[in-house]
Amino acid sequence: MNILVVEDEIDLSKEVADYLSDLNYNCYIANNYQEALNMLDEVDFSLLLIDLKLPDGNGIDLIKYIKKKKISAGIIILSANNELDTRIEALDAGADDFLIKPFHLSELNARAKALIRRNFHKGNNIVEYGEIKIDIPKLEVIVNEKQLLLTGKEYELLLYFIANAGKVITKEAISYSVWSHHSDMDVSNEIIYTHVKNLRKKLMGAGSTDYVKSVYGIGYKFGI
Amino acid sequence: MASDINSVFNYLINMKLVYKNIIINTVVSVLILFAGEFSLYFFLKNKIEKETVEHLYLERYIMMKQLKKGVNIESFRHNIGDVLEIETISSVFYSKPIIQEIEVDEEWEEEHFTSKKIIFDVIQNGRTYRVSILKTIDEDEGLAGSMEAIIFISTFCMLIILVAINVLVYYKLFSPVYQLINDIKNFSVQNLKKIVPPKTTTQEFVILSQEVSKMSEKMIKDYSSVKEFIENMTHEIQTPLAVINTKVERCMQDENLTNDQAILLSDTSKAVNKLFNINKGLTLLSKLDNKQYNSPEEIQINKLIQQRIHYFLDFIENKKITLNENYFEECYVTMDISLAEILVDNLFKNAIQHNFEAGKIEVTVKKNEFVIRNTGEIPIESTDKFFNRFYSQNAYKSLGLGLAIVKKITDYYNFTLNYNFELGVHSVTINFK
Repeated sequence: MNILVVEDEIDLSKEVADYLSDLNYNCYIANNYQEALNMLDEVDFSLLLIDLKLPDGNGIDLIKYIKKKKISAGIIILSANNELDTRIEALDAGADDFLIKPFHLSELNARAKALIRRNFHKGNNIVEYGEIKIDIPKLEVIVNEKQLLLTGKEYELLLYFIANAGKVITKEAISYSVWSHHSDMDVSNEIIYTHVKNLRKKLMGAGSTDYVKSVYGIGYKFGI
Repeated sequence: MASDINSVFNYLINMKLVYKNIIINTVVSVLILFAGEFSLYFFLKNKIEKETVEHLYLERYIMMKQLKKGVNIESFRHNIGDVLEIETISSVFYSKPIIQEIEVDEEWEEEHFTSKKIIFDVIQNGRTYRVSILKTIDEDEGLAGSMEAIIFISTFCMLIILVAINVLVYYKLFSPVYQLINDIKNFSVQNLKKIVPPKTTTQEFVILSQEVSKMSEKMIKDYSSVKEFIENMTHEIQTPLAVINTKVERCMQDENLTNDQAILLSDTSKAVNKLFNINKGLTLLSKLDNKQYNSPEEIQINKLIQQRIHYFLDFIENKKITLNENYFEECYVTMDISLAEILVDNLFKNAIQHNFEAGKIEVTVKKNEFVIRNTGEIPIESTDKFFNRFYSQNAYKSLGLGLAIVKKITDYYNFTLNYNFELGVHSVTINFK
């Protein structure tokens, strides 16, 4: 799976590429508009991460170019610009998602995965991890062939964990992703703890391995 | 009554320059006019009296001269037009003439005369006579009266003309000043329009308007540079923040991390998060300052609150807070939906964060009114500060931007925002009208 990171901040593009490479994607970096155009001609990408402000061009123009060339890659915008108008403009041009800087890598990964799933597994959108199976369109969780009832937040948590399996996830990233807008409320930690505890209990009750490990001082890690 | 006088007094003090000027001019003119009238009256009266007396002396002189020539005194009875009385007396009493003032009331004419009378004694042919000549001064005084009337009328006309000229001149001369005052009133740095000096040739006004214009230009420049700085800062800081965040997250992936290192990284991540939230808040505030929200729609506040509460239920439950919702009436408000959400969210955040464990939150919605009450600690300082940027009683709990944003949003739409603390309950009231 090829991913192109179009970002002029070299440090940031490198970090994003490294993180995603660890998760078995092939990452390419373009630090400006021209480089991006060249790479688009040479490589077949499944996902494009595009910064809107490039030294020699505009990310929106790049999206328009991609749509004109009928390249079927998913597009996620990475921008420091929080304006509603900009977001609408980007989404209208054909972007699939919009992530505001600074973002959590785990959040980027979860969104990237969700987008790739939507684009490439149409109709059969199922996430699997070991004995856990999640049917995204039906919002169903099946453990050992039996349906498991989760609350909305637990479902989102599980999905986020699986998307970032094998990686340490910070509590901030979880609170940002699952409790979307309220990451600046300090009560989050206890709430996350309670929800994770309940999720673990339910998963283990259904006979699943205990995949959730807490990482001292930081957050959690999902995996064996 | 006292307040009535006070208000009249205040009104007089705070009057427009032109009226003040007219009133002062009028009062002074009237005073001068009256003083002038009085002095003129007395001056004329005095003069006429003097002249009358002189006239009487002259008549005496003529008479004495003629008497010396040997003209019989009796013949004078017919000679002099003025009232002349000659009587025989036994001995000389008034060797020098005396002047008497006589008031005569003539009943049939209902008029009052003042007369002067000269009395002197003369001896002719061995006989002593007392001569008194009477001269009324009313005739002449009438002249003084009409003169006075002319002067009075002309002065009065002058006064009216003076007032009229004053008003005209003021409105004409001062029109650039009024224009300037109006421009200053309507001036707003956010419009980025400097004050254009109104056309005038009056030197002081030219200087004044030029200085005001310069000042407005300077204000706009300063405001713009501060604004630009904040905008650049908030925008440019985001990419480096993203770099820090991603680097920290990468470090966290290290499996050989010690507990101390994990805590250090976590603290770094939290600080970055805090910076990001400050940034978000400041961006919102500067967008509100720039009036960049222009897509208002009708919002059903009751529905919006019920929706937003949903996001906070976890937090409320976690703190074991009892939530009471009272929706008495439907409340419709026309505003930007994203701002309405931020408004409600920030109030809820505030009510949850500054609440006790097992505290209470009460939400009340009436027509045009939204009240949120919560239990919480007694405010340490003046409650006015709550709506200031970065004011927070407990820096660990919040950034202190939440209520500043609430204030800014309510100001943006001219809603009234009230805060008070009573019997352990903080209450924030927003009146949408």
